[in-house]
Amino acid sequence: MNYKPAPEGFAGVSLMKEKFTQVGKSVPRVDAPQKVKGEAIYTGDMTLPGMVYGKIKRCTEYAHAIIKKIDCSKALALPGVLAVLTGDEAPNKWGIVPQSANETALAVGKVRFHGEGVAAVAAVDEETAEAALDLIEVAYEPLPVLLDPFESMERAGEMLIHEDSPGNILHAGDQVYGDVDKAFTECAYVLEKEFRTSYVNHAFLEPHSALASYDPQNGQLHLWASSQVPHYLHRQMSNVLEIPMNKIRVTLPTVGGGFGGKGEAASSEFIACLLSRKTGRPVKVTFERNEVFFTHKGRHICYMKMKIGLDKNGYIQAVDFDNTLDGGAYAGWGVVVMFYTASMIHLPYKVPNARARVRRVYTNKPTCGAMRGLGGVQPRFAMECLLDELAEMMGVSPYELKIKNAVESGHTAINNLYVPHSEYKKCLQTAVEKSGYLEKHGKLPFGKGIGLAGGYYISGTAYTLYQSYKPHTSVLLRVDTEGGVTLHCAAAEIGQGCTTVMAQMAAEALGIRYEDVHIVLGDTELGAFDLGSFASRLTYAAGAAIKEAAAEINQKLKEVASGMLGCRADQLAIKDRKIYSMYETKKTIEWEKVVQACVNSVGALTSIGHYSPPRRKGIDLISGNRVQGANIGHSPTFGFSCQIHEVDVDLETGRIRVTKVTEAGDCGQAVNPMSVEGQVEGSIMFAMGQALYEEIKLDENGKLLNPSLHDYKTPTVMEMPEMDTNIVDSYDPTAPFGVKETGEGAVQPTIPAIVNAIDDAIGVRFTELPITPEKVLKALKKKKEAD
Amino acid sequence: MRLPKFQYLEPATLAETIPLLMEHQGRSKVIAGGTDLLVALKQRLHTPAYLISLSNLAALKGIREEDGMVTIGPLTTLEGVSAAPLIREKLPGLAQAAWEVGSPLLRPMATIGGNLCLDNRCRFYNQSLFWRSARQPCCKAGGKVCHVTNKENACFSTYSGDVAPVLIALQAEIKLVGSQGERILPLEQFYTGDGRRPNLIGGGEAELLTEIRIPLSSHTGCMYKKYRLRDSIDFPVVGVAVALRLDQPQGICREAKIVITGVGSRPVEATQAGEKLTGREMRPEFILAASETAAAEIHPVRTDQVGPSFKRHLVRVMVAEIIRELGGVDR
Ligand SMILES: Cc1cc2nc3c(=O)[nH]c(=O)nc-3n(C[C@H](O)[C@H](O)[C@H](O)COP(=O)(O)OP(=O)(O)OC[C@H]3O[C@@H](n4cnc5c(N)ncnc54)[C@H](O)[C@@H]3O)c2cc1C
Ligand code: SF4
Repeated sequence: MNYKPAPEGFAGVSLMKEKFTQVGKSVPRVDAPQKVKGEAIYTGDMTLPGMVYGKIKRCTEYAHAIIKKIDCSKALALPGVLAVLTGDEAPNKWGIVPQSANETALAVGKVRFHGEGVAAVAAVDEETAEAALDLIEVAYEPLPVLLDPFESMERAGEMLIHEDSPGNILHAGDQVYGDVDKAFTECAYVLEKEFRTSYVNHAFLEPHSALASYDPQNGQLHLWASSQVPHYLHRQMSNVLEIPMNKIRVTLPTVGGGFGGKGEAASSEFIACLLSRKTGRPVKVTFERNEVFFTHKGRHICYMKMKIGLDKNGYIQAVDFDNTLDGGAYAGWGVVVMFYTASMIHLPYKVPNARARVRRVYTNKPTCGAMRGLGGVQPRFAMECLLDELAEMMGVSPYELKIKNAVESGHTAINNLYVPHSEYKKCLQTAVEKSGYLEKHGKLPFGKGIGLAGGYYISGTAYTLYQSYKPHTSVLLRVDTEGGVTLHCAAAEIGQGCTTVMAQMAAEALGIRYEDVHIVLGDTELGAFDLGSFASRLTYAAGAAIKEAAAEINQKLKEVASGMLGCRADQLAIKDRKIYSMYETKKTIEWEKVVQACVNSVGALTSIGHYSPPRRKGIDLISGNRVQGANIGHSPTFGFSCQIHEVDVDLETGRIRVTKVTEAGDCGQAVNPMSVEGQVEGSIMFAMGQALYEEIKLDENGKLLNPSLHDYKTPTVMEMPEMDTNIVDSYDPTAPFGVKETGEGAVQPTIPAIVNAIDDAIGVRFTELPITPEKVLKALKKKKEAD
Repeated sequence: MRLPKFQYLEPATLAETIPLLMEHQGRSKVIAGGTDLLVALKQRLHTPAYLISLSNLAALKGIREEDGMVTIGPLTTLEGVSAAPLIREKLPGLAQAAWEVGSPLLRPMATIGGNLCLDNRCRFYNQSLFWRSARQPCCKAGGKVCHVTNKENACFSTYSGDVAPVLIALQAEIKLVGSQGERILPLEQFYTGDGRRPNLIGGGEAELLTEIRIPLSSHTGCMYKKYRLRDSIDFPVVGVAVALRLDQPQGICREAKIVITGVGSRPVEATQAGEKLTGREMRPEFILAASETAAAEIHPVRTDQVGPSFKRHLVRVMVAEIIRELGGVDR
């Protein structure tokens, strides 16, 4: 096990919580003023001397076609054009999962979705670059377009989207734990249903942007990019460009949101770098909104069959899950997302027998990838809706059924997922009490309804995506008399607020104030290693690394202070910028004085802390036994939440309005409660979009119909309900500062809670998203006819 | 997306503007608030060599009342219209319609004149050049065939402005000024019903909209309701304006004008539905008959994300709802 010991060796949970002075405070976000004033610098705002502009020629004609010929000669002849680029010039494949990496910077040989890039140009200004794109002539030979995953599998004999993927299947897997079939025969209540989720995009505000500067003299490449994963981007850039990683530096200016959409490298980044190397000039490539939709990497469309069986007392006996994921044209995060959907049926309830059969299929659509709550949102929708219906079959409240089955601290799931700590029951109780769910459910007038759903999410992953044992996060702390305290880490602030919570945690660990800590993030050269902002991992991982680094600094300071105060170093404590004896409080000295003394005597203080998550597959380090189980889904700890949505269905127009949401979340110790609240409210808006409004639409040829934020309908502030978010009292004693996650767990319950509320309102159980007014009216009509 | 290159002209007076319009006819566009035009330029729906700005024409701004007539300058912003005490008090339906346009960010820029001159919309037309280049140009974009109906030489793009229905229901008139002088005509005659050239000056005629006049005596009550996919930003799926003239509160209807946006190539007046109410008391059965008739009178085409039958259903529901509210009738 890699758990770090609790600070200063204390055990009592409440005692430790009281000790916090920096963690647990709603301090303002350190990056907020700049953003609010419009002063934050995004990649798109940057210019470098001699910089030119890159633009991408995309295939408008077909969603699937062989590239017969690309003629760039006219484009190259246009005055102001410095270089053109085609896929053949950079054929090395990239992809976040190395085993399935199959994307190229630009299409090689054929295009697999409408809007795929086939060539790029660098020119002195955007006008010239655009004019040059029109001069590039591409000849295509159209191929059959496969848009439906079932059709794609069926017609694979006739047409393969990727030559090396038989059946048009990227990967398929079965995960069987226990004896599901036998368990069902012994169940008193069994329910099976099909569900389908929709094709949605993250709709982050800042489109992808990349600015690359290659220095032909020293072969050094500097890339500024809007990314969540500077490290994975760095690694893949090295593969594609065939430049060693130590010759590449990735820097993140301000990032305007990611939500998973910037959770892998983007073609903009490769093209900027390739064009910069080709021209010897800095090149900037900024996507337009429609390019964000083409490159996509949003939520997988899932065709799910789920079956749940309960014994006569309502305890879950078995879950059977079949999932066909429509992944679009390339692999991306596909395998990972697929296995996450399989793993997500094991929590947040105790499931003694579980079977998942999953496959991720290629189609001629923009590729699906990682999106906030990756792999969880789809099975959660199915599971929480089925449990609601099962409760109805049993004649009990869904609350009763869910709390009865809810996992508790120390739970090991049948697939070996280990939950060190859970306050899920407290989440259910809090939300139910605060919303008056039990008094309202089933008792509201027709058209009004209330629905409950629970959820959970990982708080970091157990493995890197390529084989490696290195720590997932390292932080470097530097303390001196000039800069004060500086924390260096190559983590990505994408708007989630990690800069602020890292400052709070560092300040807590060092016994100073969060304003005293400078945080240097988002640079692979200036920062110590970090894996990236995904899987809700950073607060936990950085927290652990910070504690380790701070302990070393504190030890050095205590040793110096002990001489100054005349007492033993191990009897000293550091708090509120003071170092004092725990036993003789008179013996106190200013923290800064000790730093000065320390620097004067031994030089500047630095230390580095690491975090490696526990591995839960392979050989158990303690017992020596071989541990079975899926390697995806493991996490050092898990966050839980419950949401209760109240809806108003307009029976005449079919319009659904969510009027109130009561949420209760177990995010462990909240480092910054205000940030938690922001994450939760944002999550509700985010998932509500998928439930009621958003969907990417394609025509029968696979051409995107609504690749703009005018036609792609994200909810606006006018659609937002009243929100009552509650942080339940929680502290994971195995976690640094007791923390867990809140950025992705809170998106999990939203869709099923809305769907359950709609059922409560009008007695219709929707199984497909989004639930538009037209669908509601149709369903109401059908119901009327049936009655 | 970037704007295409153009030359920007800023005439100081109306008298200077008309000759410019004539001189650059066919190569220029008039710009008021620009909230619609700039999007269209970025999408390369138009690439005029000149933009003629109206921003200096102070005479075209403002609201006043004279002899039972409210006059609004076309350069008055929608924010200005919806917030004006005079409009809120005497023409609340108009204030409501102006307030329903777009979002709070647009209304301080968007003008009422630009709103009335709004080009028709279609899901195949209001798209980026890149989007459109994936298909043959449709009739409205200068091609042969309509992608919605597959018909040749016909465009069914939808008029989607929010303000015109109320103004037509209120029997407003407009003044157009051009090289030939000025003319005054009922607003409803401004709209052609031709999706390619939806109003009298939409074809680049050298004429300006300079005044909107609304008689106060034409009605006893007027209301506008808008149904959209989201409660901000979006154009109407359906917008319904009704103006009624009752002989006394809850009395007999002397005149009813029902005008609907989002359902045809112009603001569509449901005349037969209006007639169903004329001479009648405000009773549920007449209201129902009127709403059914209105739904039958419109012929929406699938030019946005919503199907025609849903639009018809919405019209039925919304017309009945507004008349009930105006007539003080319970459900
Ligand atoms: C995101 C978004 C949402 C929108 N939502 C809505 C909505 O919900 N409802 C709605 O009705 N509209 C909506 N619009 C369209 C537009 O913003 C409004 O209709 C606005 O009122 C147009 O006014 P403007 O002054 O900005 O017009 P401009 O863009 O300046 O002009 C529009 C057209 O009118 C012409 N024009 C303007 N003034 C005159 C004049 N005095 N004489 C002759 N021609 C003139 C211009 O040449 C141009 O062709 C939306 C636009 C956007 C971008
Ligand atoms: S209705 Fe037809 S012709 Fe008119 S804009 Fe739409 S597609 Fe083009």
